[in-house]
Amino acid sequence: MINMINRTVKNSNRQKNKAKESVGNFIKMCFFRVRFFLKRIWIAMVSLVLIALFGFILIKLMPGNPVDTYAQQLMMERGMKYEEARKLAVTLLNYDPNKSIFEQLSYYVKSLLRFNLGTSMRRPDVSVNLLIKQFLPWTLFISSIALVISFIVGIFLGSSIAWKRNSLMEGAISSYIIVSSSIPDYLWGIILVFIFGVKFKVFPVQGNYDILLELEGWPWLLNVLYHAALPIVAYSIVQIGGWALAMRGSCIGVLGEDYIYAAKARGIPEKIIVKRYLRRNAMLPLITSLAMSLAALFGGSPLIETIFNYPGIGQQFGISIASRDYFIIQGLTLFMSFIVIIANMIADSLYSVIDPRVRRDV
Amino acid sequence: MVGFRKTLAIILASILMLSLFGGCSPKRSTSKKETVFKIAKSWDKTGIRNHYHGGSNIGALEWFAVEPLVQYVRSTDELHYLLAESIEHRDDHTTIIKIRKNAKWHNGDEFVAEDVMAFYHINFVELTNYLSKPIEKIDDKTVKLTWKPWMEPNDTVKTLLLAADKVGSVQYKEFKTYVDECQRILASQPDCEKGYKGWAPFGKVIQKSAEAKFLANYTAFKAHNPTWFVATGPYKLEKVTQNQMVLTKNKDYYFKNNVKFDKILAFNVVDINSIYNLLSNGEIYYQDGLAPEATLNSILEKNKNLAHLKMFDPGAIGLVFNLEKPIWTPEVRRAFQYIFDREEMRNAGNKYGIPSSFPLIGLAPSEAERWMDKEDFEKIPRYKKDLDKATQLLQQAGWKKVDGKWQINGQNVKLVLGYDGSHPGMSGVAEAVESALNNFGIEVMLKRANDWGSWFDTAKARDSVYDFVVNWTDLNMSFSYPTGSFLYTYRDVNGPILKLPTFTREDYENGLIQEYDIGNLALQFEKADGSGKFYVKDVLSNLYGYSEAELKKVLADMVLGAAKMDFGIQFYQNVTGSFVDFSKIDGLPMTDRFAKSRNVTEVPPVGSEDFYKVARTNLYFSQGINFSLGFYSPK
Repeated sequence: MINMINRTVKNSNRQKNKAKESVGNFIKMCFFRVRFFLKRIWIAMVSLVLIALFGFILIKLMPGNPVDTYAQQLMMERGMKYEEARKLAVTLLNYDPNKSIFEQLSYYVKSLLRFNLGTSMRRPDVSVNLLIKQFLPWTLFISSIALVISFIVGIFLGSSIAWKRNSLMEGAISSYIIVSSSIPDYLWGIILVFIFGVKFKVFPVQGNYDILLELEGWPWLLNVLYHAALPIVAYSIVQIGGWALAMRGSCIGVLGEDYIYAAKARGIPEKIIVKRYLRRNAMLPLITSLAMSLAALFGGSPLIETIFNYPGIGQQFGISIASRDYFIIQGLTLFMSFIVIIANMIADSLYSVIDPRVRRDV
Repeated sequence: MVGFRKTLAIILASILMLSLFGGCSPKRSTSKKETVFKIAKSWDKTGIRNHYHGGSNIGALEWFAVEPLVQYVRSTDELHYLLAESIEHRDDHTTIIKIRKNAKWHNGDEFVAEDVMAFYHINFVELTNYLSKPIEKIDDKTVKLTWKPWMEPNDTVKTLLLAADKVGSVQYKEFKTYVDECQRILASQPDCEKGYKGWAPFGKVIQKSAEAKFLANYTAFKAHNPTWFVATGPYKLEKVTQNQMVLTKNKDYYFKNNVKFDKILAFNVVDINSIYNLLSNGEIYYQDGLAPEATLNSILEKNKNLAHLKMFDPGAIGLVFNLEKPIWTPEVRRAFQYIFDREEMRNAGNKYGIPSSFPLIGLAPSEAERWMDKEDFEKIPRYKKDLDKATQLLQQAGWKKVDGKWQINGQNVKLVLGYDGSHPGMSGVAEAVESALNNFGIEVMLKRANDWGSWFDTAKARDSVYDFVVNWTDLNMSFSYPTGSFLYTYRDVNGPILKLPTFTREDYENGLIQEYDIGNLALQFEKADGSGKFYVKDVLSNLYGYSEAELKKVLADMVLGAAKMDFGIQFYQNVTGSFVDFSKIDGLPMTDRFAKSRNVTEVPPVGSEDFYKVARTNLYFSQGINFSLGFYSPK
């Protein structure tokens, strides 16, 4: 009886210990996770502060001054004598070059703390926040469609050439990948504009929609898509190659796995193996790259947007650099860095969820 | 594979759908009933302010909506009366301006005397410095200007000064608060003394303490955003997006019968290659400027309805020396005049330019020819490539040639040449100069700046790294009267590059100059007749006031005086032009030449009928007069 009681007590103690252990493990896991995320957030914040500081200093070191550049522009635009244009430039600019660098830095930091990323030197009514609101949607529109198209096509091409190695198709697709990836997207842009815009006149060479048509609703959206077609193709052509190569590499790794051999041995049809076993498993590592690519979309592409005269954030960035609009350059740089850092942090955190080894390394 | 093919087919089908259903080919983009003139002209994509002084680039509105009293054509000074019906310069130092009876603002209000006054009373433009008091209203449609007798310009210049500003841009009713405040601050400033030639708009010397008040008021004026675009011109703003702007014919315009096109459609394009694409596929009907020869011919080949006309650009391109560097002795400067084949330099910069054999003279050749006495013009020294002469002069300066390389004090000569890399002509010239000098035994290092601002910043700095630069040696951005070009050459741009001497406070304390002349040019030239020397600054400040005969004499002094100094080298007179679509525009000049070649290389001679007509085709030079005066109509 005593033994029985002892055994029961022992068992209940063991169970209590187990419960304690599992609660302990849970707390420990939570602690590790919180610590992991806090560390990531801390790194992200430090990176942001450093980027803001570096951006501020580097921009101050840029050659040329905005007053002379603006005066030259006014002189050209308004047919003014240089001195008169310079006087007007000084009056019109929202910038005092005589302020010390510390005053400028303090003003910049104060603005940031008020979530004001910066105001244009030329137009006090134009802020970085406004630029983001006005131009980012157009950039995201074309670049996200291009990303989706290139990702899907790249996945299919990559898995096909991995599955059918040494075939004629692999040769053809590999040649395409080499050619398309080695020519930069802006060059593709120029080629497309020349062929479809100038030579055959089937697509517009510039712009985002036609104002004279006075369209609304679906017809307007179609008109927008029509104008976006060439920039999307230019983006996609180059990106497809990258995704296809990444997918091919990933597929080759998966092809050596036992479950592929087992599936083949079980007589599962080739189509099913490619679709369910190969493509799905090989796609996993590409998902994190996709997250990073999504972040890169926010920067736009100054060159592509300039070639197609597409009103995106990248083109605005280019214009600000050319006109030495320091505050806009600073603000946009910071915004883009913020997006990349956040995306990086999310990708990092997702990885830790998928792969516990990353967590343990902390 | 079936899945892959299916997806590929869907993507291709989507792209096809976009082009078929969403596709609205450019041909379908305009109504058949309306005549539309299409151009490329950039404006702020972030949106425009609803007035000319708002600090935003307003694009096509500047040409077609905002007007001056009188429009001058750059490079010819041809005058066309717009908002002003007449301008009468009287002997009592006054000018009476009568405004057109039926001139109206785009919101329907009458354009009245207060509006002319409002423009000048808030914008202290150059003209206001020549006035002794604020502008007076005679009646609703008449104003009176009173000039400072000691600075009174001649009648030609008075009209040109009135033509220099877009007066139809400040409606008094709309901007009353700021105009009145500006006048209130101005009234509290002390009057200038008689004979005072410093900055004194309306005869008032602005005190340092008032500058901040003026600036604050102007900033508020600039930020004011009316609900309508403040203008009076032949076209009204209908709508504007980031990429397109539509202007509609102003039905209340005082010359409404002259306005033949119903609409203006402008594309907001900055990149020059995109503009060439629009020209090539016929989406725009006009573009000013000149493309490189191959590009120009390719555009004309792709669009058979285009022609390109050429005209003088009132500026010359060449070399400007940095006189701060001890290397530039008079002999060396003269020797450099003989080193270059100017036709080669022209070919490198602008194939259609006109080679010049002059040194830097302060005026482009066409401007010198136009304004100078013929006899004096012939006296300007001409130089051509003569390496023996250059060698002789360099040897006189103490240079020696060793193993094919020129040396001074036993050291190889190495010169740094700065240029603005964003200007294709300047880049071409810089490379050609490098090659010519290297062949002659002078080592040159090219320093390319990415834009004009950074180039000028470096070029004008004390201890600049540039020994010499490629630049406009002479350029007139405003009306053609020679003052603009002289100011560019001696005071505003080339003066700081040349490091010309300036007056100091010490000179003022020694009684040599007035206080307002501190920092002014201390450069002296010899008079053309050899009767002594004169200060260039005195000529510059009086240039507007000379009579025609006096002007000719003074120009001889200025041009021949500068030529003796060899401050730089003119390589070629620049030539610009305009692409025009003759299938869309009726009223173009020189159309008889198009059958022979649509790339019309002939530049009409100064003073000829085509000289004026061709200059007018360049909208940058003539703004909207082809449209307001009915020179252009749709075909």
